Amino acid sequence: MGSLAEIDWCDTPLVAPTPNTEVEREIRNHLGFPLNSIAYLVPVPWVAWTLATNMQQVAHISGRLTDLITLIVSMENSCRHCYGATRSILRLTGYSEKRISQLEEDLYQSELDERTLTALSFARKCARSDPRPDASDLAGLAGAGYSREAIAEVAYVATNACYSNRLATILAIPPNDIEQLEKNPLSRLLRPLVRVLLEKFITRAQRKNVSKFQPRAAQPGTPRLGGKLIDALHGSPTAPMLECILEECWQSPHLSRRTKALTFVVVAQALNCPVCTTEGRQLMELEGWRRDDIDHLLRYLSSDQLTPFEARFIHFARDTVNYKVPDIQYTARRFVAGLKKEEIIEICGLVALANWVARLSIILEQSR
Amino acid sequence: MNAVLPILLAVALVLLLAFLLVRARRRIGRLRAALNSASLELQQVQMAFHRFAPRRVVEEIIRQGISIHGERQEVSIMFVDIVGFTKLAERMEAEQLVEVLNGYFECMSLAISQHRGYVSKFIGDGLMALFGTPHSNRWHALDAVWAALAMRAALKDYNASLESRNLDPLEIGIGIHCGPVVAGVIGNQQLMEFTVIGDAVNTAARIEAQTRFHQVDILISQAIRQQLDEKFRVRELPPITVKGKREALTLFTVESYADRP
Repeated sequence: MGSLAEIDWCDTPLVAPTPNTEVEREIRNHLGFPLNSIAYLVPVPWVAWTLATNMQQVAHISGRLTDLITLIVSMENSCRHCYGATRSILRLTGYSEKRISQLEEDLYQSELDERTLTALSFARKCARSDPRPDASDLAGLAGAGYSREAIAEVAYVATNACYSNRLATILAIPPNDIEQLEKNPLSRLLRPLVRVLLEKFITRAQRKNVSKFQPRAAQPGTPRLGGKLIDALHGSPTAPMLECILEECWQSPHLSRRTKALTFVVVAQALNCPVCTTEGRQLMELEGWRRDDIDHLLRYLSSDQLTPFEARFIHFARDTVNYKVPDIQYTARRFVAGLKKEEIIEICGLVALANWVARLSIILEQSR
Repeated sequence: MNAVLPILLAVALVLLLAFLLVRARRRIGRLRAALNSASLELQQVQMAFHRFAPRRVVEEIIRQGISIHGERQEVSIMFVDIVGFTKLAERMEAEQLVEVLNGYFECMSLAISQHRGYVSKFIGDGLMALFGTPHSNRWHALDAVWAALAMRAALKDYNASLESRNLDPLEIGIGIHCGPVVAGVIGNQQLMEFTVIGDAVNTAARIEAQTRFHQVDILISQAIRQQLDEKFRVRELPPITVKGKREALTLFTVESYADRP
């Protein structure tokens, strides 16, 4: 964790951008403005859409709190791309440099109220997950006046930021264009106008998110990835978003379902998430794994059932749970050598999503 | 004359006020710069400290001072030492010895960190590495043994480079054990370190010392052996009594691993 200038960030992205695609145009129309990061992701549409639509449509917490959570988590994860972008959004939407610096230097010395600080502290714990937050953290949030739905949304926003941070960090996506906009003297002069426009675009994109991510009818009795989480988020606009993202990841053709189930289980085990481990195991069984083989795999991280690629991949997936930015960017380069662009992007999206889901599962502690 | 005096006084007063205002602003500017610089320095110290202790520990120290409690954790502890270092030191010039040692430590540290280990301290020509702390890791024993095998391979390459310079190759002994320890920041105001204490640490050190007796490079305890699968080729050694232990220890030497992790 350090200030923006101190983050050690690889200058060369892991994959080259793919400009002028149909998906990029669709996303630009959806958002109302271009995002430079999208060109690095469009070969795998679900990964691109997940990053593009991370302006969460929340119903129980304020937009300001979601921005602050994203800032704190991105700073915690030292994600140059997301941290810089969120910082610029806060500046453009009225936060002074002084207030942001206070937050960066010491959360507890900032001028924020106790309620907001409790939420930010919880968000930071979700980002670290070492150890993962527990029932006492949830009780702390409830004590600060957050409803059950609001707590779920705080966790959703924090863990969604973990997704974006991992994706941008592993792929070493360059800083977001919005940083240039914020530094531009003309936009500084016209800040009130820029602020109105930006808020309008974000509100419009959030409205469009609602129509894009419609709740789906679940088939009873069929194991679903993140099924319990989606149920726990019921009543929040985030539930159909997460459901849609998980389903599209599952249907995407670049990695096998077997590999996807394996990734979810290994990351869930690394993060000590029993619910996600159980769900992942069910999916592995559907993909032909025997229970004994899964037990052996989770105990010894090896199995004769693993392909040579999977045997390497599980170790890479583990490395994405706790990392230092230069290390994970270096490890990723070694791991993806020789793979296709689509596979690389899906791998990055998959490990980021597995981290998101396993961290978010803390909200299930509320249901118990 | 009567009319000029008040004007002069008023002008002088305005000038004095302007002077005081400018001086105060300059002073505030200097103070702000000093404060920013101090804050930046503090951030840098905090960042440097993050490399040696978990973030939450660093934050607790900043908020509450150094009197914090340790945490009980299950970890794997590895001790590594150069065999016959004293003789080696006698044969080499001091500068050359330092260069050889630095190169050796770099190879070993890299193999350890690539397997999620953390070099806790360098002890002369040896080192102590931890797996499972500062970040919790349920597969710490596996990682420790994979790291040991990677260290063996790294040393082989390093020795090749030493031999090409007509220098003697190095031999090492690695001892690994796992068990509960107390992890935390230990020390005083002058010298603090994030480390672990407990019987498991002493046992790991004793196991490493046995590598000379058994003439093998990697020795693991029964507790570590239980966490390895059949892909590890290990050989059981006769039980041995070590200092500080009433019961004899059953040790295993690790020969190879079927897949490369």
